[in-house]
Amino acid sequence: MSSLTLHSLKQEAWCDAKSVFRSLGFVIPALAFPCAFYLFFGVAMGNEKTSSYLLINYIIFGVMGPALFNFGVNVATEREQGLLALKQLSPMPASQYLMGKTFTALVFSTLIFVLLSSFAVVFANVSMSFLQWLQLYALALLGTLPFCMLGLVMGLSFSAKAAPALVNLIYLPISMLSGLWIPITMFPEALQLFAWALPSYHLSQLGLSILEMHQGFNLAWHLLGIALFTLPCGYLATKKYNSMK
Amino acid sequence: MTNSTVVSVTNLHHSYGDKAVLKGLDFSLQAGRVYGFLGANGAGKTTLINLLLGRLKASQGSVEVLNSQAGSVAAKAKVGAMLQIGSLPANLTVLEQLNLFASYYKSPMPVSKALRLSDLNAHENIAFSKLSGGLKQRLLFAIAIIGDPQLVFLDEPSLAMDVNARQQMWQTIRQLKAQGKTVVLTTHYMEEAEALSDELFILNNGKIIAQGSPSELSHSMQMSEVIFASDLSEEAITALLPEWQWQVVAGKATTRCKAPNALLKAAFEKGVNCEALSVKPSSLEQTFMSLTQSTGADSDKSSDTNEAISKEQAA
Repeated sequence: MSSLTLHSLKQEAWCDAKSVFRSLGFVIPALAFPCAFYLFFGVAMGNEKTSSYLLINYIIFGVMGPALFNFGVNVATEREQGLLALKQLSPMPASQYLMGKTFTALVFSTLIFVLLSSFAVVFANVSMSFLQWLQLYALALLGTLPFCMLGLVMGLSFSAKAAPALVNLIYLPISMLSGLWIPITMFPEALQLFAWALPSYHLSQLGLSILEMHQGFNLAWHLLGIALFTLPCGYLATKKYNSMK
Repeated sequence: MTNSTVVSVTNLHHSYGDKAVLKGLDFSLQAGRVYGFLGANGAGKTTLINLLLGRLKASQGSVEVLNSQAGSVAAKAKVGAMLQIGSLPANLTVLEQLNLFASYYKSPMPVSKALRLSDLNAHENIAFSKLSGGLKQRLLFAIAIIGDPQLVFLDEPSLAMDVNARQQMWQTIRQLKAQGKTVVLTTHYMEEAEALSDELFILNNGKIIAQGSPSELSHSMQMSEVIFASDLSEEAITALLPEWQWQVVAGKATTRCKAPNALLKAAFEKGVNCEALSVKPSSLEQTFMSLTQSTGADSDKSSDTNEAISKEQAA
């Protein structure tokens, strides 16, 4: 990658992040919901074990939102308003637009990780080794990607009016059915099986495995589950984007 | 294609499904000139621009832009476009948006120059959502030229601008031309097309029905409008004077013709009573309207084209 495109990529990422972070109506709910949920269920009502269990699940819940919304809703809006067409007329490659948006989602993931971890350490005495924290942060970043791709497919498929409702329509049920709020083992068997289709379930299991609290399946299955969700979504999104010229 | 040929269009056809929108266009555009494309809604203007930009693929024929295929990366690097778009990111300032778009090109125009050419210096730190309609247009114009393109497409550039801003924009378009850039303009303002264009193309029903400099066109198309009161119906007048196209509304018969003498002579000979007669020269604009309206065109607003584009993808 030449220095020119690196400069442009930095501009793209920085502009997208600035644009999103200046919309307080987007930033505040995106950060406040996971924080409020964790403080209530994980800290106020939790004990030593549930505080760390819910920390992992609420971090995953927290990274899903901005990724789904920045791609799902903002791409739909930018496509409808013509900004995407204007960018497609420039020589800028499509991947740059996507990387810019992914950057913003990763910034959110970092914020969610820092905020919830701080609450966990300060208010709930959760303690983990440095390596465990590092693994959890890496998981938060990795967990952003499947939802960027899912959001992108939605953003390229639905109108700007429909997108927010549809994103909400999948965001909350997916979180629920992945066992982010209620442990997956309390679900009927059919729902436990269904959870295998959801990347957030696999992310949750990978996260819980850091503290040996997962169901005990081989972790390779969970990595495969994430890949099998992310790659087809990425393929579909690329196809849609390229046919939009 | 000669050295100075910027756009070369050969036997260009385009249809959406089985609806033919462009029916065999052939033309070429030369460097350092301003071209105006005029046409009623549905004439195929927007489709043509989208084909030239490579946003659509031609059903038949070829579109070459700066020796590359329209829409290729090589062409994109040398082409700028101002589209009718709803909004840029609302929270980013004029300067931020321009810096971003400048970064897309290998050798962009300095941002300070683009700001000056679009008269946005005083507004560089204002967020897009706080700009007036005219200022938004100027920012879109600045984005169109930020890549220092050889060929600039301007779709309704002075929409929502006040008189001063429009004059400023015209000035800038003339400056671009002086620098050897080619400008393709679509506009609804005949005055704008006349003032800026070296050559006008009038599109109707998917074909170029007239082409030439504004003065050539207004000369060759100079017509008179003849109006008189009559108690005859449209059919009756048409039967008596079949060489002209008549419109009868509320007892007033109207037509346009090149030689009003001949018309009036024929009318007297046929005994058509012409009361409250008026004969006045028809402006280029009126002539254009009468030329393009007669075929009854469908709407070709950009939203329809976008719809057509998405239908095409779905197919």
